[in-house]
Amino acid sequence: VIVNVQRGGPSTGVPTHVSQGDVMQARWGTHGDHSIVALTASNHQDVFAMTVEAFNIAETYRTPVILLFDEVVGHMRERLEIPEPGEIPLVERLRTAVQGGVDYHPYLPREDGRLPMSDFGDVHRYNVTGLVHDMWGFPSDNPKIVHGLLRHLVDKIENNAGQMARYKTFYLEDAETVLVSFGSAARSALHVVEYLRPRGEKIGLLELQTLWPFPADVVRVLQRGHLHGGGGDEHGPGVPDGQDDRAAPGAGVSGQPHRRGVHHPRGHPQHTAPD
Amino acid sequence: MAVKDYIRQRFFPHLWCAGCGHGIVLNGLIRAVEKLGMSRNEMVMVSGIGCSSRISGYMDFHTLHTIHGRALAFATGVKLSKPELNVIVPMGDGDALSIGGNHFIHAARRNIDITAIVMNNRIYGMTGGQYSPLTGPGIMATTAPFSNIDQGFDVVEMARAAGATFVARTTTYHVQQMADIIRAAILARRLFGGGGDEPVPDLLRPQEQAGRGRGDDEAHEGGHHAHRIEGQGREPGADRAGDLRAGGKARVLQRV
Repeated sequence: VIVNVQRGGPSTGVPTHVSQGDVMQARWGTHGDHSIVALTASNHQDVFAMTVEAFNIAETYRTPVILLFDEVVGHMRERLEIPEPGEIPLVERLRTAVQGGVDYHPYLPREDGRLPMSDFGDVHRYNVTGLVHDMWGFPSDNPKIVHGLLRHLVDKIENNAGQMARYKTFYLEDAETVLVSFGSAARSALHVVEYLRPRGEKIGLLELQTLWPFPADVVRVLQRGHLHGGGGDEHGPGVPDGQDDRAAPGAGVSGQPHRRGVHHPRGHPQHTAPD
Repeated sequence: MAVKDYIRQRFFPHLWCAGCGHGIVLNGLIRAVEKLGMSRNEMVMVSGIGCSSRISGYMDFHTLHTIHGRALAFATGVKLSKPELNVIVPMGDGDALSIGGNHFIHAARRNIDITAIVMNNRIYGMTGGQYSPLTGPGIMATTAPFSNIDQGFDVVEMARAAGATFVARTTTYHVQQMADIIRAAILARRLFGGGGDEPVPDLLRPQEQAGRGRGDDEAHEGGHHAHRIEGQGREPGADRAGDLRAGGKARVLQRV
């Protein structure tokens, strides 16, 4: 589980102002084909919950999970109620039932794609490597094995995107306009929604908590309704603009690289929201 | 237990070139472990990247092949998690002292009972003969075609200065001594008791010098790099720095 509390970049950037510019880095920041899980939160209670969630997802899918918070959430102080142990369900690591001395295949997926583990240094001696490897963990450049491993690494995430989708909704029942936001920007978005509601605007908020794999189904459902996104309420690129129904599944993101909150607090003139 | 029982025969033949000293280190390591009567289940081998790092996969221990230069960091994690296991970290000179230079000095400073082995051939071999921080001045490399101008580290002095409590150096010419030193290094923690220590034998291998041709990198066979040491390489015996460090005893007789 990797925690990235985003501030303005690039490089050492503008310390310590807020930004959300690492969304694409989280997704594509390593070489090769892979999938990744990235979660975020807009308040401290959710930071706590999402951190637990990150470990649960990491244990379930045996994958790195990135917590993609931002500087505002990272530096502010607010109330946090720490739950009692057991209050939040914890995923126990799936361990192998294979006895010591029996040929154990640490990288042979079960039918459901999961890999029962043996604790490193315990009864099974196996090889762990960053190289593409076979079911024993031995390096291989056999095309079938390479393909199988890559397929596994991608599918175990992408096929379970629905299970990993975490989000919160506000005032969506009759909303004709829905803001889509995440992180500290979602707090501002909620403020706007609650300001406009008493003034007769049928407006709601979808707060994303899973950024990757992108919860495309959730957004697609909204798109069939009355989503008027246009971005504009996030600090950086990488949030669905909700305008393009033709976008390929999972590709419903529009980078708006000039919409950095730091430099363009009212949005870049080239990307003014239609509404 | 026979030597062959310590290796994963499924993994062989190894990828090391003819004339390489890595196999001699592997041999010394197996003999040391055998002599100590340690079971394979209580041994952990953690390595980084490079030819030297493939040594871990060949051993039938708990083996962890990690990222370049960070083997000692992973090994620290393993040792903290399971202190009852013997943790051995084979590294190349580039792996240990360049990419992993910071991990090296801090592992020595922390001194938490890890046996680190620097297999020093003074070059990046797998990638085609680039100079490393231990190459030393006046030595040819593919990235130093007019010879290297930088001073090399003295890895033994560096380890001592950083706080390592058992430091030894030998060469792959001294085959018996290799096994003895590795055995002493593994044992050292017991001699030093609960305080722990950081044994760092520097296994100097002056016969493996610079001058591997660029084309070598392309000479794959079954996924293995097949390096040859080509004619433009320095004469093995001409390794003055290596001879000096080994007290002049390591005159290399092996030619390829």
